[in-house]
Amino acid sequence: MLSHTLAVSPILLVSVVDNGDAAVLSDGIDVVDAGTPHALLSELMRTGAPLRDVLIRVVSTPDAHSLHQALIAVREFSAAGYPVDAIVVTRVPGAGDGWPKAWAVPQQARVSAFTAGSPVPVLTLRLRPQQRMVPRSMASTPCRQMPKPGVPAAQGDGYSWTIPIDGLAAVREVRIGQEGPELVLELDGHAVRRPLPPVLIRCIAIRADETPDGVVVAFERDPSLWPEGAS
Amino acid sequence: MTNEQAKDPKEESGAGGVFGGFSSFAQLSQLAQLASQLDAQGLVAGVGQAMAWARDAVVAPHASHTDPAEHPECVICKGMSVVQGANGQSAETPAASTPIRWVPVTRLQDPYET
Repeated sequence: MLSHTLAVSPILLVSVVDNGDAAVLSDGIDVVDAGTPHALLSELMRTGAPLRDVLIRVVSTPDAHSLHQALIAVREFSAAGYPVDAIVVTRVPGAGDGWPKAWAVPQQARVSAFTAGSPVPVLTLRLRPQQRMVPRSMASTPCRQMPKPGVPAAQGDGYSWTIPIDGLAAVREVRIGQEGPELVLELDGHAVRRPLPPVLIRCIAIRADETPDGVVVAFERDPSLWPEGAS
Repeated sequence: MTNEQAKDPKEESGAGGVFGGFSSFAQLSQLAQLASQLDAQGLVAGVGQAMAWARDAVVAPHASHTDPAEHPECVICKGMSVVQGANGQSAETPAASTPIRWVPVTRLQDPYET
């Protein structure tokens, strides 16, 4: 399905809640319900699809757990090299829509705080059960300028690889390691594996430094894999 | 009708005769009778017996072998050694996934600070 949708669909929706909102928002042509974040990410990592000109948006509801899951999805997609364009929060009770205040106000406040601290733009859709929830902006332009994928750069006798990761500052436990030809990024226990660029397969990761936009991983050449005197 | 054609086919024809290789029609009919007994059921039973023998004589003893190099008398170990040698692997050290080599990560700020 993915290979078919990639050619024609500018937006892939992944939903952290199995409530059918992504299916409702999808028009099947320009906006596609791509399942759960885990399902899409697994397929992308398995196939290595480049996803050029395709936007990924994470669909969530206003409850705290779902919003947290949405942030995790944003981080994981970003760490895997597939930055998320926006988070779509559905079923947000509107201020003037007559919802009970005791129920609506905490949700509105939570979504406002979430929007302010989100590493990616947040689109909110008001809770109107009788209406189709497709805003006009859904199938149009990107919500943000995507970070450029990092490429290995020569640094001294070795190399450095810049990896943009959205929302890294909020991650408490960051572990980065190398396993054969893959770089393992473990963010609060959620591991993402990225295939190393060819030149780095012959190198050894030695350290990683966090930057405001992600991490820079330093590599040194593996002497057993480099011809002597090669530069 | 010639004399040759008039012969009773059940008579011995001798080596190289019409029953080529078989000395008589009687021998040939005995062989045909034997072949008729090799029906599908018999074949299955024979294969089953062969499998049972292989299991008892080869597979069962191999189950306790950990290092193929230590059991040159074992057919399976010998085969594994040959295959691993052809693949450039050491028979003593089977291919295993490399462990993750974690590197130190420098954070911009302590994430546990409030």
